[in-house]
Amino acid sequence: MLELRLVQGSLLKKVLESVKELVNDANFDCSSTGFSLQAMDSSHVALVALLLRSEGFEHYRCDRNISMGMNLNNMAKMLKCAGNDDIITIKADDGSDTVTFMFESPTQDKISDFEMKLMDIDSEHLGIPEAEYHAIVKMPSSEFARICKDLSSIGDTVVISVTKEGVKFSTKGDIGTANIVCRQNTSVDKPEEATVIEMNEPVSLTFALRYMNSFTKATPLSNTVTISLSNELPVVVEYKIAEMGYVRFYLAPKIEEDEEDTKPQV
Amino acid sequence: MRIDYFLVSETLKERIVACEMHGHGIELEGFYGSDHCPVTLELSPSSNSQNEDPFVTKPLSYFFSLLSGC
Repeated sequence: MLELRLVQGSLLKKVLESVKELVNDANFDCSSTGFSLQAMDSSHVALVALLLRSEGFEHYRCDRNISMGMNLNNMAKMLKCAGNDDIITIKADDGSDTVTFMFESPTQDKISDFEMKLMDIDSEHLGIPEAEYHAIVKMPSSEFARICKDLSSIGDTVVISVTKEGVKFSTKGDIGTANIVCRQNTSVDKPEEATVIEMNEPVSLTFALRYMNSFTKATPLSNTVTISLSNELPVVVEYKIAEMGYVRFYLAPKIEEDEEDTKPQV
Repeated sequence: MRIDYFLVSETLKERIVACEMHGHGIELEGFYGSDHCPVTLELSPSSNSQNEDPFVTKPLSYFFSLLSGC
């Protein structure tokens, strides 16, 4: 049996809004340690990894490891029916083909009960290796979202370059080019408004902006976003979820074709 | 008898605008030239971003396998 009770139900609503654009269907895995999800987009160049640790729930009961296949759009429709201040409880019996979402208003004068059919989803589970990153940028999530949105109106791809001068976001398109540089600034009043850059080695990578904009749907989850980069490796865009977990997006870089040809054959 | 064909991949199928034979019948009506009547295929222009993108994107599993060294 599974029974999870989350007082801050709005977190779950925000999580669904942040991942449903990237992934249609996904398996939610529940174990004694937490509630998690790993899923790739249809072209397999982007991946979302979600973790909500068991300690973050007011009540967490999971007798046996369980995997629940859900259509994320339908799940979002259900969660939309919860108020922003509602307590959300997720329930499922072992071997059941449905999951129940219960929404309680703060004063408990309204209790809603929604049951959703589960799906059988065959999904590829990628092991995500640990990596050391050449550069890690931590910045306000609203700033990052604004940058991705602004650059999208100029071009289709973004080049993210990190040097000791700062982090530069560049694009070009039919009408021209755009460059946005964010320098490190740690001397602001509020720590969540700082831009912090750790750099071991200069980095320059190219990504499709369409995916970056998808990732920034997670902005409401966290004031800050952490972008981890290594040359020729996928970027990790991470949003913390209060004290209870994270949502991480991985995106494969675009590699120039001529560069590709000059690489030695393995 | 017709021995000239166009073969297109599934993804190109959506871009077919027209496909025409020039000349028909044993008298090659409508066409003057050799005994092979030409066939033309008209495709709609590709989307700009696809055309101009000099990059390739490999799937994530490629990068993850690089990282784990297998």
